[in-house]
Amino acid sequence: MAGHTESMGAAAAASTLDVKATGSSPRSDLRLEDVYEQCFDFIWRSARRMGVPEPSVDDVVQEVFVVAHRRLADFEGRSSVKTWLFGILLRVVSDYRRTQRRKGGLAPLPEVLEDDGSGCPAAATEQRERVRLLHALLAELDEDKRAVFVLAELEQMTAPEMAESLGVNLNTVYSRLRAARQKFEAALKRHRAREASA
Amino acid sequence: MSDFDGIDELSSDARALIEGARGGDEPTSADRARVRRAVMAAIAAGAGAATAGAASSAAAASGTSAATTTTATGTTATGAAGAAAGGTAAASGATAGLATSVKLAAALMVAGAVGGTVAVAPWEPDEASTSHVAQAVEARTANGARPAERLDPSSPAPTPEAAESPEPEPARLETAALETAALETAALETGEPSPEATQPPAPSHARRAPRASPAPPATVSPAGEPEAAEPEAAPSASSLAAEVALLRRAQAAINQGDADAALRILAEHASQHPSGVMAAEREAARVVALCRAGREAEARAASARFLRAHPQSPLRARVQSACATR
Repeated sequence: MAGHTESMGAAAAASTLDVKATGSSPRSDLRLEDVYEQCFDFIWRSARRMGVPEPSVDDVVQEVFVVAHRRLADFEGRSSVKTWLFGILLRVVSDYRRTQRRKGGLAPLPEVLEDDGSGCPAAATEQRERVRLLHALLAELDEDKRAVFVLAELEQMTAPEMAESLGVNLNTVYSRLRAARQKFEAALKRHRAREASA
Repeated sequence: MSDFDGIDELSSDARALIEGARGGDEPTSADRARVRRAVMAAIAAGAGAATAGAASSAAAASGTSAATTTTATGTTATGAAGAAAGGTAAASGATAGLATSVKLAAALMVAGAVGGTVAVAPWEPDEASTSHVAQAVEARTANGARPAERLDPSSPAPTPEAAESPEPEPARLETAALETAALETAALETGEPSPEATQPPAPSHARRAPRASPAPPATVSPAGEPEAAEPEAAPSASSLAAEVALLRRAQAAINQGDADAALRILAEHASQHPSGVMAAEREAARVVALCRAGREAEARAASARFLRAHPQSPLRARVQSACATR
């Protein structure tokens, strides 16, 4: 597992008094604190929409920011922080999937914290239903299409931004979005049909 | 989506669903704060362990959060946050007794070691604040490592110099996080019916306390240089770091589905740190590992023991739901 060796390297570097973090890197003006403040919500909801189950969202999101911290110095400012982070998220999510598969679908760890117990029941239930349906439909898209769909339809990201984030060219973005919309519509239709017959 | 005109538009049904569900994936402020602590802990702890794929990190999921959070926050705290920690340490010391203050002191010693030597301070890279961190850690160390009888609610907060914050905005955030950590720690300890809370320190704690005694102020390097970390901090710092490392390994094993390995590691922790700072976290992790290993009866017994011993623990929910099938 490639990620593993990389992390061992990171651990070694950290324990050998790697003081680079305080040095003046070209992008030392970019602080993880700011990145976190600006992008936490985006990464959190994107993780959910990319299909990370609730009990694992904490881990995945945390991992994204830990990786971001490690790579902060490499961030070149060619893309926005948001698109850069989304790229990291996609890699973390795909690692996560691989691990899950290897574990043979072992149930993820239960959530540590209680939910904050807010919200009024009726409206909340309806909202939850919609969210559940959205996630179910998203789950029918493959990873690539799903990412484009989430960014375009839920984040209103522009095609050039998506191309940056996903490391593909504009045409690919468009063709993936087209395919994603078709699949999404088809899945929604199937769902409605099931609903009607039930 | 003017940008994508020309591609078949979504139907109104799909559009309505998306709009209706849009707000449903937002994190709560509790999510934000919890993951923030976990990220800081992972970074402060050298991060490496947390990055083995997505099976990441004990910190969020495991019980290590209480103590490691303190560690991480200490590392990144600016002076003001530090001052608050001092106050909190004093206050919780008064109610929860020496155990808590030692736990905090130990955690802060790690902060000193990590923040100073490695100069991680990832959230506050500028030198001025690094030196504040060093000072704050010094101050807190002195404060927190005092014997219990001298820790009363009226004991003075650290010096005003340490309370100066170059950047008020993040400092306030860190303060909140740190206070939470301290409270969690206090909760863990007060939940324990053990005599530690009211009586003189248990031997293991007494052993740790002197080591945590403050280094001379001379070690605070004016520029906040890496050498600000005190070598004297090494023993207790490394003992907590060792505890954290073991628990992380255990959590990683659980995440990888190797519950037996996790149990072996936890047993190792139990024999090396029988009354360690992270003993409660170990027991909580053990419950989870037993469940995963399919040893449900033992898990239930361990769980009941844990809940009896730590009725107020923040790990309670985790322990209770450990064997729940999902």
